Amino acid sequence: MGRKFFVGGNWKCNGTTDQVDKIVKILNEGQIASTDVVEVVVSPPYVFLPVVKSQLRPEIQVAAQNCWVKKGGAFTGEVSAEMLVNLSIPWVILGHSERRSLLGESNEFVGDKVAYALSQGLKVIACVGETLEQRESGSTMDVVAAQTKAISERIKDWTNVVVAYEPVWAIGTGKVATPDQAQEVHDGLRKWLAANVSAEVAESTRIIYGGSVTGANCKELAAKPDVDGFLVGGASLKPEFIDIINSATVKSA
Amino acid sequence: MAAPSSLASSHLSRLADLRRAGVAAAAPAHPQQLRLGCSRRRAQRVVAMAGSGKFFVGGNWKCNGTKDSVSKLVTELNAATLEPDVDVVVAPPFIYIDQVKNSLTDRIEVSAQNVWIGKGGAYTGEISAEQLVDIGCQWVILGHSERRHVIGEDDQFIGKKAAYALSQNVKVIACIGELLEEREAGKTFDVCFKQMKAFADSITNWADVVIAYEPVWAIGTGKVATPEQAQEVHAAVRDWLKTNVSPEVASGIRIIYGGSVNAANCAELAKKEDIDGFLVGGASLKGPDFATIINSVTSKKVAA
Repeated sequence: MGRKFFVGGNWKCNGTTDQVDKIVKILNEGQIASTDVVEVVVSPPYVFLPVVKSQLRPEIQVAAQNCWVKKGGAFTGEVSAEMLVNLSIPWVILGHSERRSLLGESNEFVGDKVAYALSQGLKVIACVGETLEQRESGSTMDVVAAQTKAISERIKDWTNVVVAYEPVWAIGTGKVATPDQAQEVHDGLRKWLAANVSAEVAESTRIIYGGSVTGANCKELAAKPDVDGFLVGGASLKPEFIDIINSATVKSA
Repeated sequence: MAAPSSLASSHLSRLADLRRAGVAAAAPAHPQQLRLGCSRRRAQRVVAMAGSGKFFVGGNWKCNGTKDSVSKLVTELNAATLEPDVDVVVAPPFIYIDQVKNSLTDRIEVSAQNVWIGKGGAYTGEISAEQLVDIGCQWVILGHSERRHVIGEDDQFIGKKAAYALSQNVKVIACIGELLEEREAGKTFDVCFKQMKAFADSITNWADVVIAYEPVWAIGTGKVATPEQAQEVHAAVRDWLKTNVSPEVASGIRIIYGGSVNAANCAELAKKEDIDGFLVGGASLKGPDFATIINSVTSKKVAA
């Protein structure tokens, strides 16, 4: 069967109680394509997960933006995968570029997190992507492959994994990633999965685009054959997120 | 992003003002009072309990809990009879703060276990100080040994976190402490003072700071820290503050013990002159034991 379009909204370190209420209201009232066509996940900060989970329409799922690498215990400040499961939070974003660069998360650490989260029953949005320096040195696929390998060495079942490609080189650098550039990496990554994991995993795993996605460019990106959806940043806090979700219909057109 | 709720900010600011007034009232009026004997200093501290010298007990739940276990613990805490002259704070994981805030008695304040170093924004997985204020969280634990040694947070990063949190009116439990290898190399005070210096380089107003000494050397190493060993470090830290910050800050600030504290040893620890309370680990997950630890403030009074 075809890969179901996937749209995740990463709110990052944003939101107040009032803003969260407004965003949830927009999401609850928005006209969105059916769950047969698109899978939608939103990812608030930890402190807002319970309220979003309780107020959000059931067709839209909730994700945490991170979790701890192993079982909970003496790890002050961390939230464990089993805590998320206990609160019925089904998804988690792991290996986001901001955590790799600002919090020093290594490929192996991210791989261990993905494996542990899956072992506890979470579904994972696993992020990969290269910096400007890496791209300009011609290392794009080497970097993305190494990041993906650190995950594939630690897991067997990819059913509950969505891979998000973040063109870090185009985030805050003044560069703009074109849909063709996104497609090129997605295609390369899918080929890597086919060669290093299996043809079945390559065919069934959703590879979503985690670059700058807006109401204006979402349809063109969605039309690319190996772009299976988005991990949306700032636009996920705005009404245009509804339009981005509905770009899923481009795939069935 | 939008500024935190003006109501919450204003409320916390007023609390901060009251605390600052308390500090001034508690400070020695004349230099010669600094030479007061031990028993007189203890008596003074009891009298000053209405100010910032008040006994302080924080419960750090760490990365523990389920919806049900949190509910049970909150019920136990709500049912406990707590002594009046002690500040009590609990620190649930981020994901349970909402549940705790909605069900716990307001006699007990709530802390986060960590916070981001600056304003919120593109920092996936982090929580900002503005967000803590927005959800009614009054405190944050910073520099905990598990974040220093497991996560890799360095002194300067932690110092900047403290400065930013305070600037947003979040009160700070600032943690310091040395590893076993550091202690055995005779570097206890070097390490603690270096950690203190990183806080002092960043903090300008200490009114909303509590210092927690964690004898990391006795955590999971088979060693046991005695009340005398705790007192020795607490007294040295207070002296360091007196020399490097000011005598007023040194006398007004709470220095709490973050080693292994339980219902059996809390009374003995509380009697030590420079131990102003506790940052409790595992025992804070047991409601009745934690209440006993909170109420060990009475041992402080007996000692005085």
